[in-house]
Amino acid sequence: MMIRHHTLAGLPDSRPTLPKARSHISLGQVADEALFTIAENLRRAAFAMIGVAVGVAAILAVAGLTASASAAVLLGFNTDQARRIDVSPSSESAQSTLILTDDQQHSLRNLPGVVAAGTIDQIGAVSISTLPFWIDPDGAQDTTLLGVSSDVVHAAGCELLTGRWLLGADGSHYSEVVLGDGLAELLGVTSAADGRIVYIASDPYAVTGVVHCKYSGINLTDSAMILYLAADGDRGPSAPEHLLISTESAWTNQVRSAVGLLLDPNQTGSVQVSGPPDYAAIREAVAGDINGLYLALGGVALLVATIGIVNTRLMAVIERVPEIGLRRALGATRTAIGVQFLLESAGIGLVGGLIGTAMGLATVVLVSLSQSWPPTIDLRLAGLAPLAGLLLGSIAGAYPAWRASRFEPVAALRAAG
Amino acid sequence: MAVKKTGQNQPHSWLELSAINRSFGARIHALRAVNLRLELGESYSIIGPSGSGKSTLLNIIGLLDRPSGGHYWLQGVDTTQVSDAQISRWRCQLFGFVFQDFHLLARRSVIENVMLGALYTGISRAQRWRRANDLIGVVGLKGRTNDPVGQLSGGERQRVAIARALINEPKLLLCDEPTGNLDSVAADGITQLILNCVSPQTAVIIVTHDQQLAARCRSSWVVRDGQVSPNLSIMTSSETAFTASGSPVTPGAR
Repeated sequence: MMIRHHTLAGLPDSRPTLPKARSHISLGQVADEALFTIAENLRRAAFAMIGVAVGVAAILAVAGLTASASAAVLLGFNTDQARRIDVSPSSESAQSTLILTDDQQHSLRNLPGVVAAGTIDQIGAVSISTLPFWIDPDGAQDTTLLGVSSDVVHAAGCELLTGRWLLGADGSHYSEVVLGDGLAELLGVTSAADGRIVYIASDPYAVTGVVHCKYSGINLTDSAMILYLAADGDRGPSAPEHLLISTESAWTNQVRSAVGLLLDPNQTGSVQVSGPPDYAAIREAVAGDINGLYLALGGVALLVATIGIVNTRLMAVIERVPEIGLRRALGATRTAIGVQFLLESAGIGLVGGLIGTAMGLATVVLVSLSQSWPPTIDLRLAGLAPLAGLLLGSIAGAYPAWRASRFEPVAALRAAG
Repeated sequence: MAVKKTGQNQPHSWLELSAINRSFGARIHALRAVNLRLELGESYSIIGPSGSGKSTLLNIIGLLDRPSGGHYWLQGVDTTQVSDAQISRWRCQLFGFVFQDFHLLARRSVIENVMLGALYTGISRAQRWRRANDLIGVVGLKGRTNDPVGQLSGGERQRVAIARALINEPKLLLCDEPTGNLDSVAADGITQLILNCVSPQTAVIIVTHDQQLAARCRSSWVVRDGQVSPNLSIMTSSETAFTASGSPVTPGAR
């Protein structure tokens, strides 16, 4: 009889000793079974995986996007503002401080690290038009007339959109004007073709160029700029309000202290020297924002993911009570059951973590590109994210796994009935 | 291993229950002072009305449940003194179970279900596959190897469960109402398959309320109100072999 042949233990000794406990399932085999079970119950596992994935993706996206945004902000500082020093009189009585003597001008130009230095004087509010007032009384625009030194074009980070800058102070160019790009658009001046005339307070000026300036201390965009000469008393206030100094980036701080000494040797506090925004402070401020947001959002996402996975795992345990009973009947120890359920949760967490990492990275790259930010991702964080999923799955799966291991075989088998 | 060898009173049966009690709470006494002996090479039936305690008895014998009192000797070792982990391993190595409602994993194929029977022995997947494949042929399901068990008839499912129970070459096959969910034709095939498993080194216990099925076993216990007695209805009048120690009645040769 075939069965007889198959089921015979084949031991001639009628009283064999009880088997030793050694031969039993290995951790690898439990892991194999756990993987098989995840694949088998993929639809249920998918919900837990999505929970983990969303949590991990949220953290990666928040961290990546704030880093990208702050990188974009810092990049903006880098190009221009970071190298400019802005000097202004600290009170009305100190107005004349910025009227530089020849010696001062010479010293300033020869300071190491100084690229360009120029002054700006706000002469006053004027009306400007392309036709004389008596021809077109309604065509006038309000603007600010600025008296600028010839170096301002470099010191204020200006770019000529058309034409040329004001020429040097040789006396023959008093009647030339350069328009900020905003004002030029308002007046319909798109090119500085020869002979383009504007009327400022009824006086004709030739437009030599249109500029776009990065300096934001004074509104240059909507202003008209003429050459400033200290000796020219006719044109109103005789003292500039701003001295702009553009420096080489490595020298900015040194130039800043030297300028203070040069213009106010006795340290009377007559001038206020403001430098570029403090890099480190900005970085820390932005990092502080990131940390706050990061912790709050990430914490909520993690909590939701953990509750979700605990919930689905508990459901899975309850659903699989008869299966647990069967496995116990087939010889599974409590440990084998607990470890299998724990490994299933860990596996779900790992897969969720991997999906979440991909989702998070894709979000950072896509949003950054759409905002023209440089996508900035901490690769260590991206590497840790799947492991965080694994850890999350294990932590969330611990209690359900313990519950699964506690069922008595008989009670669990009866649950099937 | 916390196993106590018995001293001078070491029993001689392969399996012996001595004054076994099983109660649930203070009021429900499922088994009371049960004594019985079991030897390899025999087939046994446990019969009795519903709720009499026959399944509880089978669960105690199969180490699925632990008694509330008394002693259970397995090859001379008192199992009531042994750890849960050790008990689990003995279940795996010595016993095979066949249940009324099959207890198959519905999403798995025939061979995966049979292979599950040997998962906890620690043998390799390839070895499990080979053994399972052989047994599927033995129980008459060749050709259905990779079918999901959901596509099988009741009789076929019970054949899968029997193959699963046999994969570890158990000493004792414990069947709880194995034909309870089957029509008479399928039931007859399953009964034959189970009784064929008896060999000089193996034994079979079948829990049933079917007198005819019980009669096909060489020995029989009746459980009534938690107490075990020999089955007088299938015992010839001349046979009074039942003893106070609970040896089962053995009717004439069949």
